[in-house]
Amino acid sequence: MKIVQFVSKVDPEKCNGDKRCERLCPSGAIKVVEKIAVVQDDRCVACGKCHEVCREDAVEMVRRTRPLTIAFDMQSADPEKIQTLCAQAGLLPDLPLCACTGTTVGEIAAAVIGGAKSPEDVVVGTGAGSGCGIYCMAVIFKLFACAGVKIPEDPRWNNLPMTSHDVSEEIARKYPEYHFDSLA
Amino acid sequence: MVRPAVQPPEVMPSMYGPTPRTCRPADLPGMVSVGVTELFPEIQQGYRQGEGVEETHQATRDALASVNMEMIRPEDTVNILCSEHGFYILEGLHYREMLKALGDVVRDKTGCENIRYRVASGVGVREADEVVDYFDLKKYLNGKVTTTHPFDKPLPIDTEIGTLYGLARIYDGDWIVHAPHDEPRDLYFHRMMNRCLKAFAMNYARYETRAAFHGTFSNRASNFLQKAIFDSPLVQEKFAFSCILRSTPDGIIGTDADNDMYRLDRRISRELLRDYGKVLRLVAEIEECIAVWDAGRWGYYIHSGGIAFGCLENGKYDAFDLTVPSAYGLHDMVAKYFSGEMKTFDRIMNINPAIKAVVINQAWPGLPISDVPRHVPTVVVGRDQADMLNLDSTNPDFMNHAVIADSLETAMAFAGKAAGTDKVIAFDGSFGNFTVSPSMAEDLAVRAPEVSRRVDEELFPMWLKQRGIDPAEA
Repeated sequence: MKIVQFVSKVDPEKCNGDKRCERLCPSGAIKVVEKIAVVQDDRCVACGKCHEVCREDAVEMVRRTRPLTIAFDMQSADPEKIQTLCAQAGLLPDLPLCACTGTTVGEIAAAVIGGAKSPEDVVVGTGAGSGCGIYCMAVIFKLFACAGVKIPEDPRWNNLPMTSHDVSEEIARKYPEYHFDSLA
Repeated sequence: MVRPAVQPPEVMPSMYGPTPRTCRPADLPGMVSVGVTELFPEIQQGYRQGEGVEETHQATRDALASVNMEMIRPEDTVNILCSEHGFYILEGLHYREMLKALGDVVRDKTGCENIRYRVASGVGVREADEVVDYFDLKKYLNGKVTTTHPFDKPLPIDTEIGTLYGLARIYDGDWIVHAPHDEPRDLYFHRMMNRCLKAFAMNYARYETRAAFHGTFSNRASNFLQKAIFDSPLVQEKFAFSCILRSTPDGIIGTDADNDMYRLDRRISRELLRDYGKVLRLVAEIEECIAVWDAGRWGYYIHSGGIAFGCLENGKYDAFDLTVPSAYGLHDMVAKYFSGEMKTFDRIMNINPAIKAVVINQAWPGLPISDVPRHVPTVVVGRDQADMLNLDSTNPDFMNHAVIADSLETAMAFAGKAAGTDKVIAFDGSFGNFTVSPSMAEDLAVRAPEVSRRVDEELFPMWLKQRGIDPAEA
C-alpha cells in the first residue's frame, strides 16, 4: 500500500517533448501528447523519475490537495489462490517485498490473480515498484510468470522472472558454495 | 589513541541530498577521534582526503606495468568502466587520479586514442552526471566521458543460468577495462564472494538484474549473478583487464591490476577480509550507541573508520562466515516465520539492537530506510532534510515515525535522552578514524585487542578456507 502525497506537474513552457519522462514512468502516468508531456494524476505514484530525468527542469513534484491511496482490495482476494501462487513462485505471502512501500508478496499475488496484466498495473494497483525498483521488480516478474500471464513487451521493462530456485540441478551441483536451494 | 575530532571529508553538493552542513558531529564539543591503526596497528596505513593523490597516480602506473594490453589495437575502442561510488570515497580525488593514470597508460602502451569513460550509477538517473560535472571529468580525464544509470538502454547477456540484462553503454566498446574501487561497503550482500566482480550485476546492470540480486536470489546465491555475467561469452570477448583502487579502513593504499579477474579478486579479497574483518568485528561488538549519519550518499553507505553504517546495522551477523545463510537478518526472520514465532514479517531489516537512536544530520534519501525510524528513535536535523524525506518515493512514511530538530546539538541532546546512552559514533565519511564520543572511544579501545586476536587466530583462517583462498597466494 502507498499513500501518495505528491504528483508530477509539467510546465508546458519548458517541456520539449523529448519523452525521457515517458520512457521511465513505471505507472504510465506521464505521456507526451502533441509534443508536450501530460500527467494523468490518478496514475501518478510520485516516484519522481520524471522530475529527476528532465533536462529542461520542466517537471516538478507538487503536494496533492488530497492524498491518493493505492492499495489492493485484499477482501476480494481468494487466500487459497494467493497461497498457491506464492508457493509456485517459491515465495512467502507475508514477506514485505517492496522495501519502499512495504507491499507484501501476497498483495502483489492478489493483484496478479485479480487481473493485473503488466508491471504497470501492479504499480498502480499496489504501490510496489513505485520507489527504487531494485528490490521488488524481479518478484513481480516471477509472479506473473507463475500465473501464466504474458507481460507485454515495453521499453520500460525486461521480463526477468528468474530466482535462485530456478537454477538447474546441474548448476547447483557444479557450484555448491552458492547454496541455490537456501531460503534466505 | 584518542585525539580531538578530526575533520571528516567534505560533502559534495548534490540534487539528491540537502545542502552540505556547516556543523558536523566532529565540530561538537567533546567529540573525539580514535585512529583505526591505533586500534589495530597491523592494518596498513593509507592516504586520507587531500593527500596521496600523486602517489595514487604513480601506484596505478606501477600496477599496470605488468598488465598485458597487447589485445588492444590502435583502431579499437576501449571503455573504462567507472563506478560513481569511488568518487565518494575520501572526496574522490584518488579514484579520479587512478582513472586518469589508467587512461594515460592505455594510450601510451597501445597507441589507442579511443578511450571512453563510462560512469555508472548506484540508483539515481542523474547521479553520474553530477559526478562528471563536479570532478570536471571530461576535461581532466582527457577522454570521452558518458554516464549511464539502472534504467538506461538494456543489453541482453546470455549466461550459464539464462539471460540477464546489462547496460548497453557499458559494453558498446571493443574492449572493457573494469575499474572499480575495492572498499567493501554493503558486505552483508556480497559476503566477500566475487566482491571485485560485483559491479557486473550491479552498476553495470539494468535494474531488473539488480532486483534479481536483491529480491529473487538468496543471499549467497545472488553473488553468482556477477560471476555468470562476467563469465558470459559476450563479456569474456571484451574484457581486457581490471584495475582496482585499493584501500584499508585507514585509507587509500594504492592500486592493483591484473588480466586474470579471479586471481585479482582472490588477492584483494584476502586483504579485505583481514583488514576490514577486524574493524567489522569490532563494530559488531558495540552494545549500545547513537549513530549519526553525516555525509553524502544514503545512510547505509556512509562510513566511519572505513566501515559503512549498514555494517553496524547488520553487525550481529558475521557476513564473512559463509555458513550463515543470510547476513542481513532475512534468514532469522524466515526461520521464525516457519516456526510460528513470527506470524507476519513486521520489518524488512533486522536492525542491530545496539543501535539505540539515529540522528540524520545529512544523508541522501533515495533508498528505502524507513525501517530505521519505525524501530529506532530517529531525529532528522533540519526542515530541508525532512522535506526531502517527505518527497522521497522510497520512504513515503519515513517522517511519520521520525522527529525534526533545528540543530545538530538539539538532535544529539534529544537522541541521548531517548537512547539512554552517551556512546556516539558518527558516520561522516571518515576512513582512518572513528568520530566518536569519549565513552565510545574507550569502548572501542578496550575491545580491539581481543577482536584482533580472534580474527587473526580463528576467523580469518576460517574465512579464507571457506573461499578456497590460499593465504600465501600472491
